[in-house]
Amino acid sequence: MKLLRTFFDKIEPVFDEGKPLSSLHPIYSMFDNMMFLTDEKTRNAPFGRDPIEIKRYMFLVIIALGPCFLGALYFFGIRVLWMLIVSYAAGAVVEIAFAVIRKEEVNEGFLVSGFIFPLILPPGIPLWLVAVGMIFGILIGKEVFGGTGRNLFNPALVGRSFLALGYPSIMATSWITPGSGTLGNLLINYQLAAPEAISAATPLVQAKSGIMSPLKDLLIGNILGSAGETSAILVILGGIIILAAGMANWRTVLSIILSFAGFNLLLNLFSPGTANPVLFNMLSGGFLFGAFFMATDPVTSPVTISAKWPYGILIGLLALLIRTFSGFVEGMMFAILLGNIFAPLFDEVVIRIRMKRYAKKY
Amino acid sequence: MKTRGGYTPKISGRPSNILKKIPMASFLSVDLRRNGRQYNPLVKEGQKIKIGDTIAETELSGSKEEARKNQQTLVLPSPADGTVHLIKNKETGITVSIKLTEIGPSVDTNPARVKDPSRLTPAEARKVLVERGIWDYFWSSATKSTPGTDGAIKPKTIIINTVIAEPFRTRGNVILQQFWHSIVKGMSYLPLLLADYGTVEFILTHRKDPIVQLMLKELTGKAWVKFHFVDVKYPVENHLLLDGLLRETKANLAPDDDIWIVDIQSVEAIGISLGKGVPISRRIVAMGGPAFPDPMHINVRIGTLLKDIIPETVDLSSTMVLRGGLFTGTPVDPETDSVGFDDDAFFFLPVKKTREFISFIRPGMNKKSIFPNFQGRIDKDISTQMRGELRPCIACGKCQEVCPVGLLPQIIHRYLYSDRLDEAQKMGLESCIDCNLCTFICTSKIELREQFFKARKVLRTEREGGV
Repeated sequence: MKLLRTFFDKIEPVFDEGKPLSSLHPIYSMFDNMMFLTDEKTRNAPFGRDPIEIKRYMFLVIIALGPCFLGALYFFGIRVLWMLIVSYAAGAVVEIAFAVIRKEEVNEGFLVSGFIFPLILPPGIPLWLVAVGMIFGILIGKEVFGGTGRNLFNPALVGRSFLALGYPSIMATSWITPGSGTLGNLLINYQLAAPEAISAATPLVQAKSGIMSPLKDLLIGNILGSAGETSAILVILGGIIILAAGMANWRTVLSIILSFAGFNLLLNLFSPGTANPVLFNMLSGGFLFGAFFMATDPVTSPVTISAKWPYGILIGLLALLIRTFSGFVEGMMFAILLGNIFAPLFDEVVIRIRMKRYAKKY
Repeated sequence: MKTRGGYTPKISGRPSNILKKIPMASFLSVDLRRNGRQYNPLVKEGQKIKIGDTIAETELSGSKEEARKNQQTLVLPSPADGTVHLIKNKETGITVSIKLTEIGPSVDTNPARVKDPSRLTPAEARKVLVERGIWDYFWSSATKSTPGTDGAIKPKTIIINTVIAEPFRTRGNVILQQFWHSIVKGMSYLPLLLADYGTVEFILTHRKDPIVQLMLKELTGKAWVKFHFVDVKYPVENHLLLDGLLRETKANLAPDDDIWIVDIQSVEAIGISLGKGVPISRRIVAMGGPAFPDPMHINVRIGTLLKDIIPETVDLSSTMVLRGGLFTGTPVDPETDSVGFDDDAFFFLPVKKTREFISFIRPGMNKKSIFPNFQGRIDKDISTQMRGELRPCIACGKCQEVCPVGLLPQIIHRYLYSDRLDEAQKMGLESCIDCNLCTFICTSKIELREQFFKARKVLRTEREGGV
């Protein structure tokens, strides 16, 4: 540790202003700040600050995603780890490139986007496609808006929808049969190349033709699906972590689940057979994963607390409508992206109401 | 009364209920700045003075002559007997403090000057309170600062606040416990200041507190005393907040009715000063914070140098001493600064120089945070370190949760960031009470309060027609 610190101190002058490598200072400071707590001191009151910081915030989200990631490794093999590495590498390249161009420090946002991205992809997807999707997601979904904190859309979902719309045939045939037993698929799917395509359909596709997967399988996760989304139990476990740690707002999660389940019940009541049964719908596909981890992204969800309710209700409703009435069997991805569009609008309404209240008061 | 938002972090170094009396120092240094006002000395170099003699004065409003004519002057009494030395600022030539040497016996009782409330007129009461340096402890909602001393505006209500939640300022309970008699005495003078049918409203922690029980017993039957209970959550002691809370609770208060606020220590000071016939000369000060060994309350004479009350075990090279609590305190120099008339706390904050290795993945066992993910033992972890880099706002929403006046700091920050001052104003920017909570908990380490403060200053100068 001391050795590392001395090493960092020794190489820092190389990146000083005026030196040939000064443009690469963001890279140096990224590693420096990752390894060691910043030595910056408070200059204004309050002179002591809360120990929370962005890196820690992001890291806790990753911990909450841990169960899903471990589940993905078990069901679909070491391949998921290669996907993660490629996703991080692609994301880091874009992020660092923009930091160097903007002469800003590297933002930590890609730590979460890069971790979530492989988990929402079909596990058999070619690795180059992971890189393409991640680069597109970070570049178009985030950097063109000005980087972390200023993006309108969830970068991982932008990348995912780009792949879904741009490479539909590859995406549709990249599912892997989940492993079972003690080691699952851990020792089988370790190769870098994409495994052979499987023609079977995911539970939501099967449901279109009336074949319902048993709820037990949906809970455990030994079904076809995106790498981290198949096991409802693991998603809920991660969801509990992220809610207990305060990284996700419970209002968003609760309103999505209530609205989705509520509208589903209503639909089944007035027009039986149109929509899938409520429990099946909630446990299948990426609904829970989206509700816990994607829709709750603080940057792309509404900024004000009260606007989180209508935002969640809208996403729940849209997800149900897309699933039931459109050609897409999954609905969460587009529902959240549409929700992202409406988030600033909900904020604006809250702000207007506030402004009126203040105008009346003073 | 129900408060909104607010947050008190759990930090080590909470002062115990022990109250230690600090003996008289060999010399005292009286700062001539009090409550943001510069006082002009009225004594000469080498002059011998007695405890209670007026040593400096300043005008509350208007010019010097006007203030004298309209009885709008405030004075500083000497906290002890001694010989005067004027200490000047070398650059400006202004006298910044008065050093007292050859400290005399400084007797703390003077039966000849005791004033009984039943024999005082309101005008005499005001005069005595000004003379003995107590007037500045009152806060008036009409002036948003010290009330006028001429009696032109009388308060409809005086709030006596015993709840102080900021870590770690003198707790009301410690004073209630130790000085119950002086407080009751001090309270008997307050009706002299009130308008007709005015009330005194006590702000207390909770009804079950044994000290509160005692008080309720003793004060029931006094129709002009009312009680309110609040949660101990910073910044409940803020004057603007208390003022707003009381107006929400009491429907019979008109918007232009004046409310005065005074803390429990000042009521105690009134009791001692008028009941024993001496001016304000001592303060109860909380000494606490992670870098202070054996945190406690001390009873210390005004003017005592900080280095005389800080134990030798405190390593001052790695400690920042804050005047006041953690949230609003400002750094002082323990070598030259002394206990002032308004001090009630010194917070000792460690200055850490080492950079923690991979701090962001270390379990938060010693990092008590507003996020519920750092459960564990409370440690001395708070320090002058920023603990993170400045980043764009990610809208985590914590600032909205803690804001005691219900603002949306994240939205105001966004407006100010894009130079939209008008919108920020419409979002209630000017109701910010400078409690610093949003800045304390900000995940992105944004200096929110600094930004808001500057913006409000711009708005003020615009309104006053300045440039």
